[in-house]
Amino acid sequence: MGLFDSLFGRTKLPPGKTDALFALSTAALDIETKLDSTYGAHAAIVLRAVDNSSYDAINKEIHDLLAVGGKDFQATVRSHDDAMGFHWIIFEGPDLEDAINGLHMTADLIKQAGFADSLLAAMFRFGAWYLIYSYRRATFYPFVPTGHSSRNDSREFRIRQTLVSALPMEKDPERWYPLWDPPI
Amino acid sequence: MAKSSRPWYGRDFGLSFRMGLTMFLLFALYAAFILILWAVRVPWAILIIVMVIVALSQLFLSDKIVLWSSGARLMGPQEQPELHQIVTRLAQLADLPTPQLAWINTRLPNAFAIGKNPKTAVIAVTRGLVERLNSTEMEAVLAHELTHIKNRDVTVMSLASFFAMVAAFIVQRFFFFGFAMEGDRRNSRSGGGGQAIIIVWLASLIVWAVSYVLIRTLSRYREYAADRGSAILTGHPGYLASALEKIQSGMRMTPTRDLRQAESMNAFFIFPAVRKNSAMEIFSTHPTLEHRLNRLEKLQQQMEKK
Repeated sequence: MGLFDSLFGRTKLPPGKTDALFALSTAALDIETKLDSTYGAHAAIVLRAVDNSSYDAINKEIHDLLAVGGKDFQATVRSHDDAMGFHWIIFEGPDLEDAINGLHMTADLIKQAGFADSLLAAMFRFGAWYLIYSYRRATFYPFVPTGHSSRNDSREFRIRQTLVSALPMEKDPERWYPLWDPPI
Repeated sequence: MAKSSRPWYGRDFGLSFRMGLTMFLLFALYAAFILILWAVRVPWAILIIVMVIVALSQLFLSDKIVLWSSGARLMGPQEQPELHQIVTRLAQLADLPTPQLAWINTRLPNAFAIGKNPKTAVIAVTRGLVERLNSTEMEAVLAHELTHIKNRDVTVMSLASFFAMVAAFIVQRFFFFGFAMEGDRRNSRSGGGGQAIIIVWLASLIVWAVSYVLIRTLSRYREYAADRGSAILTGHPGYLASALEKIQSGMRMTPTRDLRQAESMNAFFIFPAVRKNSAMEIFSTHPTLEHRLNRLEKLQQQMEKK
């Protein structure tokens, strides 16, 4: 948000940027070989719910579409509402590609309905750690929780260093927002 | 890339326009003030000294001093983990660094944000607030404060009140100022006399009074903007509405002594600590609860239409 938005007190949430998510497809090999981690069969998109009937309608549409799936789409989909009013759509299935496609389709539907600002993050489990994609900044960052409110900083920095050539990694560690106790 | 449709919350041109107009009027007032000072040939040296004093007092009286004088204590991430989680989510949504949280041990339910830029910002909450509000209401209050940070309200308001403080300084320290001016005049043999000093004093008095109303108007508009930001960030205007109602009813149960202690902090609070809305709205830093609830209600209706 620019200077004029601040001066005139305008709140415009930056719309979610979805395209950089696909970079993960090609980086998956690096994660496997260089970090010795495999995809943990769980991914999720985190959405801020809006108090609006058309938001409820689009949410239902997404769940219906994902439930039908396609013959190539192996992931099962479930949803979860956390204590902070955020809606999680969780993709379970061994194929990372399916998860990426499912997440992208979901994000696209949300954007088309005019709720691009409610896209918070996409989260992928790799063994004991997570890779988080921030829709605001179109960057990835590592998240290695070691408890309910503690994380392994040095491991996170190592992961960043390893993946920085393959993925658009978030430079500013202040923007490595934790997502504590994820349901995946 | 396909262009996504308009966001659900639309825009509030009216509010931005009124805010712009108020800032323009302040600017015009201050420009006229400078012109008058220049026309009666107030020595620059004196004016610069006054401005430096005001600037220094603004620098030192803000931020950390406010935090310290309110009795706030910075919290680590292990304290109130739920609050930290909420503020982290909101910061990520708003694309801001996560602000630090501070704790004030008082029954008075309130919250404020300080910091000249988002990187050093701190949001303080009181024990009374955390005890009274549920988690969605808490989220709404934190989103209101986060919007103040995003809008850089501390910086905007201190810039807006800079020349008002210069005018106030001249009015209150008239004798010092008058003598300094007179002395300077004698030295430079520029003539003029006592008349110029009276003009300077009157101009300062008028600027002080008019800017007081304008600054408070600007402050109210920025409260509306923060309320709106809270509704947009949380996606639920109703959360803030119910939080504000609870804060007001909590305020009524707070002993007058506690309210008086908190009064100097009013401009910073999400809700002013006054026993009743005794003063007229035009002189107050915050809009009335009724007006704020009306705005939130309108935003809720606007959302439904989308």
